[in-house]
Amino acid sequence: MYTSLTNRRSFIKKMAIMSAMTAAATMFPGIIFADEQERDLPNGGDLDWKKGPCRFCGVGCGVLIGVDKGKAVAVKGDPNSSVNKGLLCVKGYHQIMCIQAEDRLTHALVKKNGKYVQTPISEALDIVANKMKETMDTHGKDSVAMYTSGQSTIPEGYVASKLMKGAIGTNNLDCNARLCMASAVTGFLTSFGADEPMGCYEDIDHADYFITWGNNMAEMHPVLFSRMLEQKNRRGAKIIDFATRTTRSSMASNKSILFEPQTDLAVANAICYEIINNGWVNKSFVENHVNFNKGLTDMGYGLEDNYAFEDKPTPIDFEAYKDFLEDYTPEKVSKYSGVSVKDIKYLAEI
Amino acid sequence: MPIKSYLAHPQDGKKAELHAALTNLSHCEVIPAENEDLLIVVTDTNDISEDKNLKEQIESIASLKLLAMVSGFDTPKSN
Repeated sequence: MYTSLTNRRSFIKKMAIMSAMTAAATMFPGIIFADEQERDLPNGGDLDWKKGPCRFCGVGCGVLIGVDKGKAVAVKGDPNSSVNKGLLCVKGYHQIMCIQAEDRLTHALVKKNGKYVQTPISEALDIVANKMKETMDTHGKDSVAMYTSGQSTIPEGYVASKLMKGAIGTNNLDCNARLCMASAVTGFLTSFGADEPMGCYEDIDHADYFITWGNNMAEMHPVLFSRMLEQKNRRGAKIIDFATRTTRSSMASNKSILFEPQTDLAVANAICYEIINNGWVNKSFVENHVNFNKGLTDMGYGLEDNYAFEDKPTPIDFEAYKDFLEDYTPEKVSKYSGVSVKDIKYLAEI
Repeated sequence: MPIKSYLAHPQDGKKAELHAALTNLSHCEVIPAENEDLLIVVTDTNDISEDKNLKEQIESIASLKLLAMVSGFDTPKSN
């Protein structure tokens, strides 16, 4: 069907408005725009809606895909999904643009004589299977590996795991999540003793304060953020945005505190200083669940090539930790972090 | 031919002032929220240079606290 440029441009403009309204709604639930502004916005039409997962981030929103003549043409949040309850963010709403992207790979390509040649998928899969078998026959089962995606669905991950670990018998199964989550795993293990993010959705329903520490949730994870906003509006829970720049999260929060880049660890120490010196320590929790270790306070730039990490943590006791914090009084830290003494004390009091 | 949408947050108590200032700009459509201090701004310009100039004009408005882009499209000019 021919679409004039005028109509196309008008349609895109309306999409831009819809995106902004969606973003606004995830920041300010219940926000209302004048009715006349929503007039003539594209409607869903007579579409066949199919269920699916959104793959843009780890929140796990359910989506409904509007299909017209076998082609995906629209997206909306699945109201029956317990994760997003019908909400979607701007990223989710634009998934169709990825599916219909001109440069998207839509068929198998096999390199023949140095050039990629379009090949039937069954033939391409046979080539992969034969090559894997040939390699395993010659070099053993650990000579092959599968590298998958953090955007895989749980069923896809299950099938990949079954194939590599169950059928082939190798642990050589990895995905791009290694690059972003490996550091998080190390952090979780050393801080909390277990490789899992702490907390769950139910915690959000009971929390009195949320501190988004260097985390622009209003733009990065808007659907999850909307759960916090719901608690803010319904129960009066407080959101404090602690970041290096002002973002949409700052605007949606009760309080925005800015810090100079690379100084937030010092602010954390100043908060601990305040907690200890005001006698607010939960001694029983500290005695039963906390280990104190000391390492270098300046380890240089640890991400450079061939960096040799030589620092070893040394166990210390609570009193030594308290002495260490003498360098992190709110007054000292305020000077280089840009966070006022009043705000450091405010964070400590929470 | 860029089309972009933004969320514009006004300085405290300056929503009407920001609305008026944005409305005066050409290639700029403004949709104010009725119950929150927030405005949607949609810019529709002829080329990248015009788009950049318009963004600079918007950001120079004193009653604007934060301008956050939501979406951006590059599409052929209308007939």
